Parts: sequence; structure tokens; C-alpha cells
Amino acid sequence: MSAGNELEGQELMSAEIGSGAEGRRALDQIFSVTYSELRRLAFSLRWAGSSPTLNPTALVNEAWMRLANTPEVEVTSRLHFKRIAARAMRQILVEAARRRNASKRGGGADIQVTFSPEMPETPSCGTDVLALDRALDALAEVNPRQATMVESRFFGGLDVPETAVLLNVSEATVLRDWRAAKAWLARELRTGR
Amino acid sequence: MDGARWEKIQALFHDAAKLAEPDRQAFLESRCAGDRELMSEVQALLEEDARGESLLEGGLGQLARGILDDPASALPPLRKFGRYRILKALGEGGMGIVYLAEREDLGSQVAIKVLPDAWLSPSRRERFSAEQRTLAQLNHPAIARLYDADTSPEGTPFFVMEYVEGVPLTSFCESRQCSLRERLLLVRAVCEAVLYAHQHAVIHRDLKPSNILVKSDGAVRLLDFGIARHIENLGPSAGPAITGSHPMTPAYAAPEQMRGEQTGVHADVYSLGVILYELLAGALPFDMANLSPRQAETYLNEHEAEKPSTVAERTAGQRAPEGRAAMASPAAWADLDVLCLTAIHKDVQQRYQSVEALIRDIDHYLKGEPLEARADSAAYRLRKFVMRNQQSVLTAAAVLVSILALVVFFTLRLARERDNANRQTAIATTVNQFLADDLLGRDNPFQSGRATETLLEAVERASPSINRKFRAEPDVAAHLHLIIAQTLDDRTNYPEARQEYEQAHKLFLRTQGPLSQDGIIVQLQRAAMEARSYSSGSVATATELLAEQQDLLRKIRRPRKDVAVWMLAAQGMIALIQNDAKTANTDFKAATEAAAEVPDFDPLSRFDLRQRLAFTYIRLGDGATAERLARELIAAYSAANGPESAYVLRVRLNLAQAFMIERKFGEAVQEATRIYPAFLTTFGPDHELTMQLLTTRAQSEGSLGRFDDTVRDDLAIYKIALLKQGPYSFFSVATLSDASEAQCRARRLVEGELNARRAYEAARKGFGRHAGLTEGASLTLANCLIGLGKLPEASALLDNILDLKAVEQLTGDPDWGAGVSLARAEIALRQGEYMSAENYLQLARPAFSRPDAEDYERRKLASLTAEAGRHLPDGQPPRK
Repeated sequence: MSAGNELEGQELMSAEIGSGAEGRRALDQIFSVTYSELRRLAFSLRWAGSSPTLNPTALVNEAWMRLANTPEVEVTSRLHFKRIAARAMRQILVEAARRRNASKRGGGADIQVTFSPEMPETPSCGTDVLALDRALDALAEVNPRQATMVESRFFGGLDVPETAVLLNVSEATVLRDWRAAKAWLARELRTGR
Repeated sequence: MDGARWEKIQALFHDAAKLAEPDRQAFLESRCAGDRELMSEVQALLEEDARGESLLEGGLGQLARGILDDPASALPPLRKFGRYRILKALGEGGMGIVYLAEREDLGSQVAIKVLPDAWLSPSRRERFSAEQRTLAQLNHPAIARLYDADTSPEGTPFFVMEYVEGVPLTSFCESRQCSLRERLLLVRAVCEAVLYAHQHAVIHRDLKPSNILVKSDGAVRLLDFGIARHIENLGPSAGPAITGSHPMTPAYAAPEQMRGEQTGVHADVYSLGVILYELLAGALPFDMANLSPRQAETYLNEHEAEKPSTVAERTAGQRAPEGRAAMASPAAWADLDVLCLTAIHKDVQQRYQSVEALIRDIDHYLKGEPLEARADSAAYRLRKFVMRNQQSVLTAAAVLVSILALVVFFTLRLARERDNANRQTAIATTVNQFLADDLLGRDNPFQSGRATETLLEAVERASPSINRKFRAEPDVAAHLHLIIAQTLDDRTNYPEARQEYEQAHKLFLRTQGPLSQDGIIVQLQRAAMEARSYSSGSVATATELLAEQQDLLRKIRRPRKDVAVWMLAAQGMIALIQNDAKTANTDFKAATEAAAEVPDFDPLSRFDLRQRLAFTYIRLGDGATAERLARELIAAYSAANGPESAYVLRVRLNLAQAFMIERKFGEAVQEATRIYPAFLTTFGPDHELTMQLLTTRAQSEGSLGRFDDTVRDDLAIYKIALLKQGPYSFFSVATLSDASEAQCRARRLVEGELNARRAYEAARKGFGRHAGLTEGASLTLANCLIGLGKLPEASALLDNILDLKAVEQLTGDPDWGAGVSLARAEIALRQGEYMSAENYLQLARPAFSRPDAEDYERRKLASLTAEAGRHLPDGQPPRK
């Protein structure tokens, strides 16, 4: 996903809000509050110890509970919100990975920014996120529906029935698409193409 | 790879995956037909599928680990923002991250707020700069100051603020063990800052102790205008609010904020109230830790805040002896309880209307003066007192309660009027004071030998002093007279109400000139009352008043919307009394709709209009619609005012009436019997509504054939009506006539004839020969006379009946005309005119042979038919 991409071409995302400038603006508002809230939540969690509660479903539900009553978000359905949250979550990870890589490369390590005292060393992660992001972009070019599906399920924690409703396909199709996309993405990441 | 090829790859992948491992090679070779590349693509996918090591398998948690944990991921790797060197992160809020930084050239410490990933969305940038603009606008010693704003070379916007080295308000009070006075002064200082913001059209919307820091010298600083809102952005036309919202802290958020409604200065008042409460009581008014906003919203709806004094007493038990309860005396607590609970009132209208009002009461407290909010609380305590006390004072008490309800309304309406706002607030306060001191007595209006004083006596005592006391302020006096007039009107004390309406009218003309719109409203309300009063000549008076007001209204260039509402209401009332239920229905429907357009229309009057609309359906004979409307109103107002409040009782009367119109007589009697005790205590036995209720019960009992019960109820009403309204009032006549009908039906013919004759004479005298009431009374008398064998007189009475329609509308009984035919048939039978009798029976038959006809009439029809049949020649069928 290229920098500067401000949600263009996301017909699924603006499905409920309407198209045109108004719809784009409304969508941007939802995205904006969702991004901020998810970002705050995501950075406030401790991802190191593998707590089972740390999954996108819980995170997005938490954000929904906090935002559902706000004027921006109440115009949209929960499912639609999850879809937008999935995009926001992907973006949050991508931005974080970019920054992290930049700081490792650029020697900004002396910056005294401390949110948590310990810092687990898993240097490959940042690259993984960016590679997955690129692979997803590539997948979107050959099959946009599949890319949306992976984004929604992986980053937004949508379950199979929700994904099926969102994409207007059968649950069997979701499972098939998921399996193929998963294998393909694994291969893309492995070969580093 | 293009889409088609990817589809092909996937199809092969899925087909192959279904096969056993050893069979796949052969399958792919046959299907790929020499396309080696295709085959290797599919094989690679199959390998990955079998391996199951995709990044996606690990889930988001695995991917995020090491990235979201790494502080380097949170912000661009920058050591500096402009001239400022970052020292450490202070925290992340809804919109941006705050750092402690140092200005390189001066070494001074500042706070920098930074918006990460600003490029992602224009609306994020808008919100961020909105906060910056807000801060730039506010220049107050207790609000953290904005120094600088810029964008980094990477495009990250940031702004630089005063760094406040302090601790949150609650911690400060805790650690310093601040005295009560110090705590109040700290909150007052915060209020000053918030008031300053309000005066600059900024609502903070996220006030909580962690946003209020106290420096070591005790100076307060207000932080984080991240979700502040500009007041001019509040209107519906403001479009998507750039200042928007983010999750606030539920414990400090006003209920309307939790519901996601538009919020105003009242939301800040609420938050300040919670903070004050917490500082005084040692605990939050609502413990909503661990609740989601949704749950918190429900919790707020279902719970009432305890008095801070109660909470303080409890928390003090868990604290050291120098704990909080020791801080305030019981008398002081009484004021502080009111102060806190007024500030955090769930109903915006009952809350302090501004931070200024809150500050005023804090000052009143600190100076030992009475609080402004306590006028309201005196009313509350009075209400409680009335509920508890004995029957003897209830008549007066019930009225006082409704006066207080009106006072609250007027206080609010006056407070909302924008022009000359201070003046209006002063009027409201004065009105309250007067009612509390002069009319009601400060604490207990029934003490000092006034325990049995009636409302009339109280008014008689108070009314002259209104003009004396408020000679210099006729507008205050006018409002007071109007309140009293409405109350007396409610009480059906019409002559006294009339005097008060006149006083109010005169004073409004004096203060606002001959075209005073308030004056017109007074006259319209009076017109409706005159119509309602059912005294002779009152309809003419009402019609005249209405016409006068219509003339005046035409001369007014910009008539207020509420004038139109009252105009329609008066028209509807007059139509209703003139038995034009259809016009009344249209008028009240229009009035209800017009009232909905007036935002601050008195809620009680709004309710009144809807109730009268429901009543018009009863008059139209549409019991089902009346029942539905009544049930809606009961549901809506029971929740707000309790199931036995005066207003709900009024509609429950309509419900009983609707049952009766629907011929659900059992339910009507049941409902009437159920609510009768409440009517006695709330309105008293002589209130017109109590009489209407008994009338309804009596009529329903009659329809069930329980004539003795009917007689008992009707005579009870008659006695009261006679005393209260004299022999020629609607109630006296109608109930006496009804009682006599039941007596005759129960074959108590002698008493029946006597009463029927009295009723008929009174109706003729009071209402005219052909008023609906008179016609109805004449049929009743005729039936009694038939029973006694006085046939010529009965016949003459029936011959005089001209206006069947009027009676049918008056009684709501569409079959009334059939009753006349039935009476004529009986006379004909007794006189041996069988053919004629059969003709009359045929006229009566459609109405009374229906299964839902009343038992008495159905049986009568059957027995008369049988009797006629016996005398008619053979071959003449007794019925069609």
C-alpha cells in the first residue's frame, strides 16, 4: 500500500455511507477516529507475553464499544466498522514497522522514548509486516475480493460468517479463498518477491 | 500474473488438494498440459499449504509482537521538533502523543503534542489543528498556554505548550489533606477557567482530575482540549463536526454525552459537579469502573447518585479519624449535597444552567448565604411532605404541588430566554422565592396553625401581597398571577382562577403594551377555561374572548408560535363543549403538532394537549384510538412522573372512558375502581375529574345491569356537584339524570321519577330546551313515566326531542336515537297500537339486536318484540 493512499477505491468501505465527496468525508471521519482509538489501544497492550486476549477481534470489539456512540461512528453498522477497523489496524502496523525499521537503520536509537522498559528483540518482524503489506497489494491487483478478505480476517478479526456476509459470498467460498490466499502469501513472503 | 491465471492456479490447487499426496503429481501433469510454470506455481502453493507456516497462521498477535511493543515504532525517529529536544514521553491521548521537551536555546521545559501518521487522513489533521486553534484562542492563567506550532520536515504536525509540573487535582487534595474550603476554592478556580473557555465559545467536554493539574503552589492548570468543541459548531447545520468526539471517561461524562447527543456547556457543568462530588465525598457518584460505555449509559439511567454526605460518612469509616466526614457540619452538608446533586442532575434542565451559576452557589456557600439551587430543593421537600401527610391538607397540598411543577417550568423557560437573560433569571429566582416564602412558607407551609388552610385561603392571603410586593416589577407579578390562575384552573376553581387570569392579563398589558403576546396567551387560556367551566353563558364568553384575541393577533407582525398553539387549543375546547367533536379533534391535533414545533413549550401543557386530543376521540366514539393514545400517554408519563401522578391519573380516566365507549364495561369499572382512591387523595372528592371518573364507573355499571351501584355512584357525584357548582351545572344535571335512569331501570320508579324530573327541569333552565343535556334528560324522564304508566306525558316529552345528533355526540352513544324509538314502541304497545309499535321496534332493532348492545336494551327489545308479536295478526312477521 503506497503512502498517501487515503482510502481510495474502497467501495466496500463506503458502501453504507454513500459515495461522492460526502461519503468520502464521512468515511474519513470514521477511519480517523478508529485509527486513533485502535492505535492508542494497540500501543497500550503488551504483546510480548502471548496473552490469548491479544487478538484483533478483541481489539476491534473494544474499539467498537468505545466508539459506537460517537457521532462519527454511529452512522455505520458493526460489521462495516470492523471492515474499516481492519484497514486501520493494517495501517497502524505498517506505519509502526516503517518507523521501527527507520530508527534501527538511521541510528536514532539514542532517543529516550520509553513506554515500556523492556524491548524484545525480534528484528525480522518489521520486515514481515512490510512484506505482507506489499504481498497484499499484489494480491489486490489480481483478486481484490481475496485481498479484502485477508485484510478483514487477519487484521480485523472478522470470523468466517461475517466475512461471508461482508463479501456477499458463501462461507465455503471464504474458506477456499482463504486457504489459497494463505498459501500464496506464504510463498510470496518466502521468496521475497 | 493476471486475474484469470490466478483463478486457474487456484482451481488446480483446490482440485489437487483434494487428492491424496501421491496422486497429485499425475493429476497436475495431465491438467497443466506442458505449462511447467503453471504446474510449479500450483506445486509451490501445495507445499506451503502442507507446511502451514504462513505468517497468517500465527495471527496478528505474533506479527505485532516486537513492533507494537517497540517504542521506536510509535513515532518518527526524531530527536528534535524545531528548536525543541524531546526528553521523554508523557502520554498518548485520543489525538496525539505528548512529550516533555526542552527548548535548546533557553533550556526551558515545554510539553509538545505530536500527531503521528498525520498524512493518513485529513480529518485527523483537522482535529489536531482544531485543538491547537482552541488553545491559541484561550489566554487564561489556569489554562495551559500555547507557545508555538509547526510541522516537522517529515510532515508531522506538532504544537508546543506550557509544561505543567503538577499533580492531578484529586491526588493533590489527598496528599495535602486539603480542608473543605481549600477543596471548594480549587474547584472554583477550575470553574473560572472553564467559564472563561465557555465565554470564548469553547466547551471542554473531557474534564476530569487527570486533566486538571495543581502545581506545588496550589495554582490550577486545565489541560487537554483534544475533544473540545466550539459552541458555534453545535447547530445541526454545522456539518460533520471537525472537533468531533472520542471516548470520554464515563465516570465524568454527562448522561447526554454518554448517549452521544449534542452537548453544551451543561456537559462541563456535570463534569465539574462530579469532580466536586469526588473531592467532597471521597468517592465518585457512580462507580462505573469496568463498565463499557454502553453499560455505563444503562447504569446511569438506572441509578441515582447518593448524597455526597452519605457517601462521605461511609468512606470516612474506612479512613483515618481526620477523614472527610469531619470536614463539614450537618448544616453545611445539607447545602453541599444540594450543590453537588444540582450540578450532576441527570436532567439538563434541572442542572445549574451555567458554570457561572455553579460558581455563584459555591460563593454563596463560602459566604454562608442561602443557595440559589435550594429553592428547588425546598419544593422537593415540600412534595415529600405532602405525600406523607394527612388527608386534611391534601386538597391544598395537591395544588401546591402543581404550583411547584409550574414554577419549575417557568423558571426554566425564563432562564432560557436569551434577551435580557440576567433579568429573566432574576424574575425566576424572585418567583421561586415568593412562592417558597409567602405562599408556601419556607420549610413547612402547614405549620403555624395553617394545617387546614385550603388553597383558596392561601391564595386569598398571598394574592394581594403579590401586587404590593412586586409593584416595581410587574412582570414578576404577572407570571405569579398566571401560575396561580393555571393552578386554580387545574383545580376547577373557576371563579378564583378567572380573577387571577385577569390580574395576569392586566399586568402583561402594562409591561408589554396592548399587543402583549403573553397577554393574548393568558386570554386564550382563560377562554378555554370558560368553555370548560360548563356554567351558563360561558361558551359565549369563551367565543368572544377567542375572537378578540384573533383580532389582536392579526395586528402582530411576528406572532410567536406558542400563541398559535394556544389559539388552536382554545378553539378546540370551545368546539368540544359545543359538541363539535370533529372540529375539536382537528384543532387539538393541529395544536399538538404546533406545540411540537415550539422547543421550550411547557411539557405539562404539551401533555395536556395530547390528553385532550385523546378525549376528542372518546367524543367521536372512536374508543379504540382513544384507548391507544391513552395507553401511549400513560406509558410515557408514568415513567417520568410516576403511575399515580396527577397527569397520569387524568389519562387513566380517559382510558376508563375509552373502555366504556368500546363497550368493555367490565374493564371500565375495574380501571375506575382501581384508580378511584388515587383520585381521592390527589384531586380530592370534589374535583371535576374525580366526578368524571365516578360518572364513567356509574355508566359502565349501568351497562352491566348493576343499577344499584350506578345509583350509588351517581348520587355521590350529584351531591358534590350540587354543593360545588350549584343545581344548574353540567355535572349536577347529568349525574342526577343518570341516577334517575338507573333507579327507574331498577324499578325504583318513584324516586326515579322525582330525580328525573328535577334533572330535566334543571337542564331546561340551565342549558335551554334543546341542549343535548336537556334532550337526554327528557328521554330518561320519559322512560320513568312509561314505567309508571304516565303515557301521555311521556309521549309529549319524546315529541319534543329535536336534536338526536346533539345527544349522541354529548353522550358518545351512537344508539341514543334508537333508545327514543324503543321508548315510543313501548308507549305504542301500552296504548294497544301494535302496528305502530312494530314500526318503532324496527327502527330500534338494528342498534339493540347487535350482540354488543347493552343487556338492558337488548332484553327490552326482545320482550317488546315478543309482546307485539302476540298481538299482531298471523302472517305478520314479528321481525324482518
